[in-house]
Amino acid sequence: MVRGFHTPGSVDEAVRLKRELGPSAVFLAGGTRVNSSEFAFSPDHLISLAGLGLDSVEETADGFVLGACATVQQILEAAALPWPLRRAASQVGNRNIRQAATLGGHLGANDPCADLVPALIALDARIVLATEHGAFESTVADHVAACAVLPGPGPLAAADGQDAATGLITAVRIPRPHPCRGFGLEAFTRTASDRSIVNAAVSLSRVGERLQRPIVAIGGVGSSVLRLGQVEKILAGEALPSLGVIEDLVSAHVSPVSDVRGSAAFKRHVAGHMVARAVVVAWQGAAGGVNGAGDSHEEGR
Amino acid sequence: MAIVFKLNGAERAVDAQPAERLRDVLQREGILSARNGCDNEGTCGACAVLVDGKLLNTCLLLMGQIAGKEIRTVESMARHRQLSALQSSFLDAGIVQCGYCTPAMLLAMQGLLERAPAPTRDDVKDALSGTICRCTGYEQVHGAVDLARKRLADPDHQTKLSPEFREDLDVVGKAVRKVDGPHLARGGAAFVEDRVRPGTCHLKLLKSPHAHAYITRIDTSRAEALPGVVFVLTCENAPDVAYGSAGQGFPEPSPYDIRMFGRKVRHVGDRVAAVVAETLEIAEEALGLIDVEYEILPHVLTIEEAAAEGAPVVQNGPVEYVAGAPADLERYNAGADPRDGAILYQFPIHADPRRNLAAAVHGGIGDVEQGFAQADVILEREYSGGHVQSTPVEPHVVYTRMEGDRLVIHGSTQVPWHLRRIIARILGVPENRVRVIKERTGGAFGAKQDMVLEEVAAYCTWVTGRDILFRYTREEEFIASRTRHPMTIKVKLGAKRDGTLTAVQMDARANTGPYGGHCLTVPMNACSKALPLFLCENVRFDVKSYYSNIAPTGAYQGYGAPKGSFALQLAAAELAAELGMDHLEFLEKNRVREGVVLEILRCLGEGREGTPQRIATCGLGPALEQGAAMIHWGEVATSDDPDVRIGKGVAIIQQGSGLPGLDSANASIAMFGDGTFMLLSGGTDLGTGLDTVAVKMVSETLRVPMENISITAADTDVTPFDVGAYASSGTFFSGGAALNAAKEMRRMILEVASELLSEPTDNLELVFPGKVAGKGGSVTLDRIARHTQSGTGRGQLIATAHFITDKGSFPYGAHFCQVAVNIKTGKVTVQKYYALQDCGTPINPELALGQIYGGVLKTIGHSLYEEMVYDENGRVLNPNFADYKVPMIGDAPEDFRAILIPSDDPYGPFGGKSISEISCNGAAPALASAIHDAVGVWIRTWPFTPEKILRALGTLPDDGALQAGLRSGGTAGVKAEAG
Repeated sequence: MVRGFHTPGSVDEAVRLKRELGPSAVFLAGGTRVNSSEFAFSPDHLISLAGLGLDSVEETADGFVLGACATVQQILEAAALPWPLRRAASQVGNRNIRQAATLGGHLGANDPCADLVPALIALDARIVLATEHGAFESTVADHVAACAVLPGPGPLAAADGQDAATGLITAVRIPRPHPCRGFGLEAFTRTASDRSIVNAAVSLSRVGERLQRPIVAIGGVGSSVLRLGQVEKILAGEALPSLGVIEDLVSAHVSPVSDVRGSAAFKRHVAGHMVARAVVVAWQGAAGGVNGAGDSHEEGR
Repeated sequence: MAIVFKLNGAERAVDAQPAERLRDVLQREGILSARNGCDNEGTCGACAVLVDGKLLNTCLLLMGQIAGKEIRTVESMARHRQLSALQSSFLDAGIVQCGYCTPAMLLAMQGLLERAPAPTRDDVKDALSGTICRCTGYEQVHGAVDLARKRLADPDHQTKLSPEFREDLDVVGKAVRKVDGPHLARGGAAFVEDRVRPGTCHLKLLKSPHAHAYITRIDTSRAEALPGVVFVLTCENAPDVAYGSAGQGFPEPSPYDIRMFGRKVRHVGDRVAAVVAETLEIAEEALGLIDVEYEILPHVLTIEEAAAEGAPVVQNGPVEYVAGAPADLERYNAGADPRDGAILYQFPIHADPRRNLAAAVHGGIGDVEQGFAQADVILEREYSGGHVQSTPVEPHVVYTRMEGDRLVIHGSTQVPWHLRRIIARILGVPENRVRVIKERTGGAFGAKQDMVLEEVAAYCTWVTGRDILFRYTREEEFIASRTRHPMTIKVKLGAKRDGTLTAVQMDARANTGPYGGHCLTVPMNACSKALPLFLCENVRFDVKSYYSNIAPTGAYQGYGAPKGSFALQLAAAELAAELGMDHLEFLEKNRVREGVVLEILRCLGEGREGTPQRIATCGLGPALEQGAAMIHWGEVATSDDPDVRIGKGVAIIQQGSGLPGLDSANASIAMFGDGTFMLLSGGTDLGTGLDTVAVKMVSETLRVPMENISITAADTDVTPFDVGAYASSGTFFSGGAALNAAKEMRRMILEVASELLSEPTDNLELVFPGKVAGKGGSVTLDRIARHTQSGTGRGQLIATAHFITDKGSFPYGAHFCQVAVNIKTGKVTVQKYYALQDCGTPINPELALGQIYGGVLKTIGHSLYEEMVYDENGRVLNPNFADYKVPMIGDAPEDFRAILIPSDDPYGPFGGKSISEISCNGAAPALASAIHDAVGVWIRTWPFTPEKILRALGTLPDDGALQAGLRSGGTAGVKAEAG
């Protein structure tokens, strides 16, 4: 039963309120999760983020800064943003949800198959957190992995931009992708409005006929979206393997669980296929393979 | 606190808590059109409104979030009563059926047209991507948006969006705005919840957490002590009356095996107690204060488990018969447990409840053994279908109140008269003490042919005298309303080398769940609506229905036919493949055709002997021919994607038009003082356009404009008896009654005119608009009315008529589809779906098309996505839209066409046959045969999930079982076979 609805006017005030009110308070952004009957946690206090001015999508000299309260639809419509993120946005729920759901809320809810997260990881995105001790940044991959193991009523309690342990998500920074970097994005759903059952994003560079610095992120096969470090290591420096080889490699490195949405065996199979397709698409999209320019740029950053 | 925002153009300061949901506050403020379809899951979109021009779900928005914003609801669209371009276009396109989600759909399109004045088909799909509509199949919304665009430029613009039929008639066969359409498009008060008066109490159910248990102790004292609790009802104080919930004609072919509250619970979600309280919150709190102790019993979930030797007995009460009791009944009842409550049969349905057998029947024609002996090829296969729910966006809901010493029930029901009869019996009062008013229903689809919650509210109101609103949540709708029976059907076919069928055998096994509503007739219907499609001299069927502890089953659009059709049509496809014969050629060779007499129908009556029927009209020939040309049958289609294979499929389908010899409908027409009319129809319009059908019957017959005929329907106090809307009876029976009443009125009018004009009635005819013309002169209806109602007249003209028949009129159809199967993921995409259907004369062509689109998309959902999944304890794991997966606009076939093949049926009104249910019979077999055409595997259990397809392809190991711990009510495992 919600007793307090708080409308802080600044990020500092929001963070302070959260500290004062403790774990029974939840940050509220779009509300598609916190206000839903599916939200497993019953907060006493809601701290609205609407007055914090966090809803901008800005292009900077070296990339993009997305406010935590930017909606998924805003991201979808921001033509300047890298295509993998915009396409990932198009996979989120349906228009009614996309027009309310926010980037910060999406990250805070930290669904195992959150659609934006694999794309953000593949884009080397970083999360900006406001804490009592000042602003703090971490990679999206590190952040979701850390949040997934938080104690308490589960990742949902940290929904809508609130993160009990590390602070309030205020923005996401995305470095401008090198023009030669290739991306692949795949999602498997049963229906058009379905949550993804398995999703994946891959980015990579090409040096000659070699894969360089691959990033492989996959959702739906763990307690949060995972970065498959082992798979990346095996792929790095190699020629493009066949689809079947990548499928088997990925399937061997994920441990999904059976549930009403699919059996473990099925999800493992689809995970392999999603990543393999994403790798191939990324490979095709990665330019500069012959002279290796793309890769040296990438590695120089 | 006061929260200020703009509502439909006016600044409003509303007293609300910041954490209240916007939908709840809007409803409190009199905006009824933001509907609740998913209980705040945020998945159905029925509550969506425009917030600063963006369509948002108001169940997910708190008042604290909308301060200072601009809210627009559908109430903002019409100027006074003048419909907007979009609203009138929706009506002209036939996209308004039940009307419950119409406001959300209109607002979605309003928002779209504001940001994209020339939207593409994809823009429409994107804009409507968050709205669930179970009626329409979404397809006609594309035409509606296009028409609205043109009307925005030119308000008088007209485009005909649907074909017209019967040039000889004025309104029948023409798209005319449905009579209740403008009100629904404006979002006006029309549904049960809109009738609720202030001070109404709320009713909530305490439900069983166990699949099978006796209640050994129940203590309600703490709940009763809670302030605001009005009444608590349990097995201790509920009437001990056995009844059935199936709204079927009396005497019903379903057992009376339900008590309002019994000592035994038979499924997770079964009733344990009801609380009536001043508020919903108090009622919910009180549920937690009821102490219950259970003796947990072993349970059965599948047909195999229920039929096993020594299985736990679901219905173990003493058995009684009204007629036809067996001689050994006393011995049979020796082992009964009185805590189970008695089971009462109106007549024998060959049940053996001690062995969980709820009903059985068999029959046939010819000699199947001889038929199989003559066959060159014999094929035996087993098909099964899972457990699906119709998910009307408006859940089951009832509002009950006393008026004087009479009980008034505002229902969302298909069967007002059956409801009155059953409730009067439970209450122990005569029927004249009960009035049932059928409000507009927000989707029914068969689930509202059963009395699911009405009797509880009715009894509590009868006892307490209080107004009561009882509305199911979406979860309750899944676990405790009515669902389609899971079924396993064995088919054995014999054929000559040339494809001629020599013998057909169908053995249907149904899982009726905890109660026996429709337990005989649903699986029987699987045979009776499938077998007569093929002409074969040797046919046999065998039906058995079993009790179990899954969620209750009942009627669902199509009844048993979708599952019978899947089994027999897919078996025919398999047989054709076995014979090396083109599937279409096989169908053409064996199909039913005009003029034949279907002897098989003699043994396929509903719990009694049926009548053989001569097929007067059958549009299958042109449907098959036209459909084959449209889909380029026989031409191979390929994909650019190396992972994708394309295949085509077909199925032929039929249904009935009501139940000849069982159903009965009545109507009366009163002439008003100016020569206009009030039509009182017993027909129950479920959003199908039945009221419009009835008005058209009168308009056409009496040669008066439709505007001059008002209709009141389905109110047991006001309108004459009708069995209700089920078994595809609406147009044929209720429409037939309206037509007969109109003919009687015409006779009376001509009689009066004959006196006034001094001409014999043979010289007279009715002439549009509202005149009787003779050879010498003419007289207006206005004058006839004034004459008859004057002090020297013969009295107001009131005509009453009924409709019964022993003739069957069968709608037919051919469904063609093209699917893309991804061999890596197993995902099936429906690229093309063409539904060609013969419904006789399409009375409301635009609504007939809408019913086809809606029925097809529902069954595409059943075939590919939908299934209630249970854990080993009988708990439904996916009782919500997100995990159950109802198709939305993004799931509709990219190329989706419904085609009406007219025929002039001699029995139906103006040649009309039924349209709605038949549309559900084609998708499963057509898609399954297309999947086989694409990837060479027969998938014999639905839904055809990606996982099943990968297992059939050998991509995943066929472990013979679904995910560990997960069960489906129909079958223990996944069976598929490559071939």
